[in-house]
Amino acid sequence: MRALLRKMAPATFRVLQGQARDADSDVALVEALRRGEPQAELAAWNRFATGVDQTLRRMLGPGPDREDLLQEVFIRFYRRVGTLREPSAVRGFLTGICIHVVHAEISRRQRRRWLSLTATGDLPEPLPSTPDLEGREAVTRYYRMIDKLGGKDRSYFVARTIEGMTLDEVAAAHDVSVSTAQRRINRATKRVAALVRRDPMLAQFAAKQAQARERDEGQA
Amino acid sequence: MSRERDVRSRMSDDDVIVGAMADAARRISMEDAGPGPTPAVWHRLQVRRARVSRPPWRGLLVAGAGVAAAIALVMVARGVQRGRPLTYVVAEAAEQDGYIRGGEGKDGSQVRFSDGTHVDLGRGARVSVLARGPRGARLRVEEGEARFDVAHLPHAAWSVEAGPYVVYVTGTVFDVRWSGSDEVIEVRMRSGSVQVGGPLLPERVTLRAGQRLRARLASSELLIGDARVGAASPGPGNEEAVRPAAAGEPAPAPAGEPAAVQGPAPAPAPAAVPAPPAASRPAAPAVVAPAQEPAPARPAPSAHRAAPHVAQASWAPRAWSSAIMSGNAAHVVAEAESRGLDKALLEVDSTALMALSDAARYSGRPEVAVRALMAERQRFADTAFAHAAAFLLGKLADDRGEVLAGLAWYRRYLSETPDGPYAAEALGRKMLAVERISGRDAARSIASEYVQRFPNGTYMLQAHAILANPTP
Repeated sequence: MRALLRKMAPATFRVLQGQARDADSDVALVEALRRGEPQAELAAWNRFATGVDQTLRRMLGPGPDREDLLQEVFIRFYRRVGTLREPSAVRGFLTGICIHVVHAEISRRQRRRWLSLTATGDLPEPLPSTPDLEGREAVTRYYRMIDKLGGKDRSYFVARTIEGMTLDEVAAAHDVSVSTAQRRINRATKRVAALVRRDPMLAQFAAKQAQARERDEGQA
Repeated sequence: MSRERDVRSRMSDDDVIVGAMADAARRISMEDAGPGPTPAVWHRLQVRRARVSRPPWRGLLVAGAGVAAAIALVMVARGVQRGRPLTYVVAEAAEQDGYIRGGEGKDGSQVRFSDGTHVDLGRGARVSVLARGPRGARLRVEEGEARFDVAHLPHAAWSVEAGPYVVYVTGTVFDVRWSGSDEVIEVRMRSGSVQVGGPLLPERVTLRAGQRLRARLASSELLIGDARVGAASPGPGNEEAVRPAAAGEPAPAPAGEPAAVQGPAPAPAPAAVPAPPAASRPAAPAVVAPAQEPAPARPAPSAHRAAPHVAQASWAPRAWSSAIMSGNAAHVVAEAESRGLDKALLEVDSTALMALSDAARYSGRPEVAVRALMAERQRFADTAFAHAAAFLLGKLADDRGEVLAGLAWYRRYLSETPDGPYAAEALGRKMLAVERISGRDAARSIASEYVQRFPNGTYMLQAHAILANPTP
C-alpha cells in the first residue's frame, strides 16, 4: 500500500530561481548554508520543503494548509543551521524544529479553544475531496483526541508513533533523557489507547486498520 | 465478521491500537500532501523573512527600548518620590509668622520631619524652616535652644543657622543655642559630628561627640571644649581647659621622636613683630620655630586660666573676613600694606590678624602670613586664634619643606590644645614629619595614637601603613 501511495504521489514543485541548484548531499548543502552561499537557502527549500510539509501534516493531522508553520520552520532552520553540530543529521534537525513549531501551534490552539472560538481553534474544515470519508473522519477524531494530551505529551507521542522517530531522536529533539521520553510516550500511549477504546467509531476503525495491517504484513 | 472479532480481541495491546491509528494518520496525511509547497510559498517566505529578518535587531531594539522605558519609568517614579521635599509636622508648638515657637511648658514642643529627623524646641525657642529638600532642610534658630536629632541617612543635607553661624550636619544629635541679644552661639554635641562655620572661625571647625563650641561675637570669644564641663550652665569658668605654653617654651619631644629645633633662649619680647627690611621681602620666608618665637607682648596667663583675653585693638577692620570670602584676598593684603604692614600687625584685632594671615596665604604672600600669625601668637597669646596660629605656622613651614620647624609647631599646637579643631590634622602631619626625619619606627607611636584618636581621619591610610610596615 505504501508503495502504491508512493507511486501516486505527484511530483513536487521546485523553485527555479537564479542559479539555484541542489547540492550533492545534505552535508554539502549544510556546508553551503553555513558559508552563506546565496543560492544555498533556495536549494535547501527545494530539498526539504516537501518533507517538512508532510511532517507538519502528520504531526498536526488533517486540516487546512499550514503554510505559516512551514515558513516558521524554515525561518528557524536558516537562523539556526550554524548550530547544527553534525551536518548529516540535518533532517532530524528539521524534524526537531517541526516538533517545537507544532508544540507552539498546539498550545496556541488550546488557548483559542479555551477562548471558545472553535473546537480546534481553526476555521471549520472544508469537506474532503477524497473518497476515504470514514478514514478521514477517524483520523480527524484521532487527532482531536491526542490533542487532549496536552502540548508536551502530544509532542512526544506524535514524534514517536506517527513520525516514527526512534526514542533517541525523540529525546534529543525534546532535549530530555531517553528515559524521560520513554516515560512520557508510555503514559501518552496508555491514555490514547484507552480513549480509542472508549470511542466506538474509533475502536471499530482501529480494529479494521489493525486487520489490514496484519494482512499487508502477511502478504509482504 | 468473526475474523474482525478476533482482531478486536487482540486489541488489548495499546501499541496495536496506536500503531493502527498512526498508519491511518500517515496515509491521510500523504493523501492531503499533494504536490507539496508551491513556489509561491517560497516567495512568501522570502517576503516574511525580509520582514522578520529585522527582528534580531529590531526586536532587540524594541525590547531594549521597552526595558529602557521601564527603567526610566521606575527611575522617574523613584526620582519623583525622592525629589519630593521632606515634610514635617509640628507637635505641641505654635507655627506663626514663618517660625515655630516652642511652648512655654516644660517640654514636648517638637518638629518631626518625614525622614525621621526631629527637633525638640526649648522653652520659648523659635526655629524657622527656611528651606526643605528631598534629603534635608535648612533650619534657623531664631532665638533660644533646640535639640536636633538628624536621621543618619545617605546624602543627608541638613544645616542649622544661628545668627551668622552655620552648623553643617549629616546625621547626629546636637543642641544649638542662640541668643540674638548677646550674640552668643553655643553648639553642644551629643553624638556624631558636625561642622561649624562663621565669624571667629578661620575655617569650618569639626565638632565631635562630647564637644562644645561657644562663641560670643561681641567680645570675639571663641571656645571649644568638653560639652560635659558646665553643660548645665555654660560660662567662662567652665570653658576648655587649655594649657598654654609660654611662647618661648619648646614643646617637649617624646622619647624616640626627633627633638624640635632648639633655638636660643627667647629674646626679650619685642614691642611688635619685627618686620623684615622693606626692600628685602623674603622670597622664601623662613618660618621660625616655636623655640625662636618671640615672647608674647603680655604675660602669659596661668596654666589653667579659662577665658582667653582679647588685646585691645585700635583698628578692627571687620570687612576683611567678608572680603576674603568674596575672593578679594589680595585686596586685604594691599589695604594692610597701604596703612603700613608693621602698623597693621600692631593695631588690628585678633580676628583681623587671622583674616590677614588667611588673605596673605591665599594671595601667595606667605611671608606676610607668617608675620601675621606670629603677631597673633605674640599679641593674643592663649587664645584659640593663637593656638590655631601655631598649627598654621607649622603648616606653612611644612609646606615649604622646613620639616623640623613644622614639626616643632605641630608639637606646640598639640601641647597647647590637644583636642583643638586642628588636632587631627596636626597629629597626622606630625606623624608624617617624624617619619620623614627619623623613619617609620619613630613614627609608630604617633601612628598608633592617630588610629586610636581619629579612626576616620584623613591620615588613616598613612597611619596604618606605618603600623603595618615599620621599616620601609
